[in-house]
Amino acid sequence: MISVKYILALWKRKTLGQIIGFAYMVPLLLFVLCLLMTLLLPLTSDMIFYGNASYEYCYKMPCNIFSVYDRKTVPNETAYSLLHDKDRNALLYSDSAVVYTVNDKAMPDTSELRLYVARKDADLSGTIFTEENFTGKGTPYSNKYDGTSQLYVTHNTLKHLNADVGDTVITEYDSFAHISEDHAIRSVIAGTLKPEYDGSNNRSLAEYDKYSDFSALLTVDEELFFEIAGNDLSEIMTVVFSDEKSDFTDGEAQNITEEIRTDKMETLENTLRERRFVTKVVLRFAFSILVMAAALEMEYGFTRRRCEHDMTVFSMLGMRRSSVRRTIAVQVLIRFLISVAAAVLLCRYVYFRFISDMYCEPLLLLFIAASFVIAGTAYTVIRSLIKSLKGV
Amino acid sequence: MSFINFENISLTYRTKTQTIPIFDDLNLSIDKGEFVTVYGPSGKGKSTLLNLVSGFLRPDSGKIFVDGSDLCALSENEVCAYRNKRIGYIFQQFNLIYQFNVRDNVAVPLLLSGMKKYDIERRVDELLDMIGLSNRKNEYPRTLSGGEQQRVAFARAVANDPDIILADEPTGNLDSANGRKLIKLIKDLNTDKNITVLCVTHDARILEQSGSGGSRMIDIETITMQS
Ligand SMILES: Nc1ncnc2c1ncn2[C@@H]1O[C@H](COP(=O)(O)OP(=O)(O)OP(=O)(O)O)[C@@H](O)[C@H]1O
Ligand SMILES: [Mg+2]
Repeated sequence: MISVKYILALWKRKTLGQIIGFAYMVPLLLFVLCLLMTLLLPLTSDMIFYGNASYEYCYKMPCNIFSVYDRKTVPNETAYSLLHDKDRNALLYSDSAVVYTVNDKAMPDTSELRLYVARKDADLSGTIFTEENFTGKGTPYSNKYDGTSQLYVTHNTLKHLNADVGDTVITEYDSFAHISEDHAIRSVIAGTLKPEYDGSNNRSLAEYDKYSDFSALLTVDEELFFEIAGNDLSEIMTVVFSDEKSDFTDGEAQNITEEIRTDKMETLENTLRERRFVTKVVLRFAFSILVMAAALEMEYGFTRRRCEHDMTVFSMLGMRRSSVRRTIAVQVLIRFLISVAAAVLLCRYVYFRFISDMYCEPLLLLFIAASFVIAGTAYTVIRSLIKSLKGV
Repeated sequence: MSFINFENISLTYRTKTQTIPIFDDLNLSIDKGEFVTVYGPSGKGKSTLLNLVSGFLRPDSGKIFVDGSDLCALSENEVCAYRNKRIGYIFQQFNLIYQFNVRDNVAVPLLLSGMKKYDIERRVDELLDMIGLSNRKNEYPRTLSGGEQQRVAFARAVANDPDIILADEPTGNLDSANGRKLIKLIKDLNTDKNITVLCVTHDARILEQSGSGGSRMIDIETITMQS
């Protein structure tokens, strides 16, 4: 009761002092948080991605697009010359004929192809692919490929548009001046993009996933072949097409989806079980706990010193030692929890967005944060128990 | 038996570098309602003596009886309750909680005693009335003068109707007018409610006042080992 009153009064009277007092904990926690995230992120986000991916839609198209990888880099001269000159930042493909060499095989002439690939939002100058580009949402796509352009967007974009895979959207785009008078094209949302997490800049297209922070616009018109430019042409990943598979029934498509999923999940689970990986995870968790314990101990010291006068007065007036201990412990815990929350926000919105430019899986972040909270709370509780047994 | 009884009390402070013997085989008894003034030079153990009475310190050997019960035999919780209910402490430095306003400062011992919220409010109002600070109950100690702060500390000390007032140089930080006022408050309590007072001081005014009141004077140098 009085502890609560006291802690509330401390926060009310010296909010800034309170915050400055434990600001040092935030970078420490941020550091270990990022350490764990970068280790666990590739695997977990892959698992979530494949767990949720549906390939069925591909099979319902006359063309089957298994996976398209996008080397997210500034194109070199060769690649650049293939790009639409109008907007080099947007990395728009021209509708001119292009033949790419992929895996030593020449891709067919795509003279009929109209392919537009826009890059991540930030890279698009003047032609930013945002919610505003979408002037409207059309009727749901009716399963049959009718020559409409296909569009691959990120999960975030989907959410912004309140759209689903299969919906028709109208995109307004400066650079479309040469293909459409009203600067707009109709396209079907054919899929979303797989998140980037491992720094390799690979993003799979055409796999439906809910987790992505990459905004790309990819439209395919009439032809079944398309390609995406990369830093190094030899590194351009293939787009796999197969006309043969275009007539799958729903059931067959579902089976294939399951097959692909099981296969991918197995590979991932094997990685998870690897001794080296497990050791790494254990070591990093242990290190994190050490850092947390050090931070908590330091905070105990600071708090005790800061409250020494008041705690002595309270004891003189009859407060029990256990209550004094609790008052200190609760303060430490509150500061620790706030620091964890701050570290999580910084990790999500600063580190993963601006510094590492990686996709950040929110579930994983929450999981690690929760484990921090549990470990920190357990530490303070156990510490108090030991102290009270010792009667300090 | 007297109200407060020190029986063969020995106490030595031990730090890493030195041992400071304070009391050896001290016997002292104080009757209920006595006003005892402890005086003497600095560092001789006056505060230590008060801390023994409050149960804040335990002697190395010997027994301290207060109202018949042995302080050293009390459990930690019992000592806390004893300190909360039966002791009122007044310090030279006031020792208010600076994050609490006047009202909450006075309420601390009441809160610690587990009193009901309504009763606490009533009692606090009563006490603030008594010290004449009702109109400033929502202010924080830093905005009060030294004399006012010490009156708040006084209200806090008597909140739970203690049997014993321990005052450690209560006038040390007050000017003479405020000092006199405070001493009068303590004196009145002593005479009206028969509360036992142990007052440490080297303040000549207190020595005069209490001397005139026929109270007992203890020169710390006569009972301490510190030379
Ligand atoms: N917790 C402690 N640990 C070690 N030594 C202590 C402790 N408390 C007090 N002392 C020492 O014991 C001696 C007596 O201290 P005490 O505070 O009782 O003196 P005092 O008579 O109240 O002095 P003053 O008039 O200056 O307040 C001093 O020398 C002091 O340094
Ligand atoms: Mg002293």
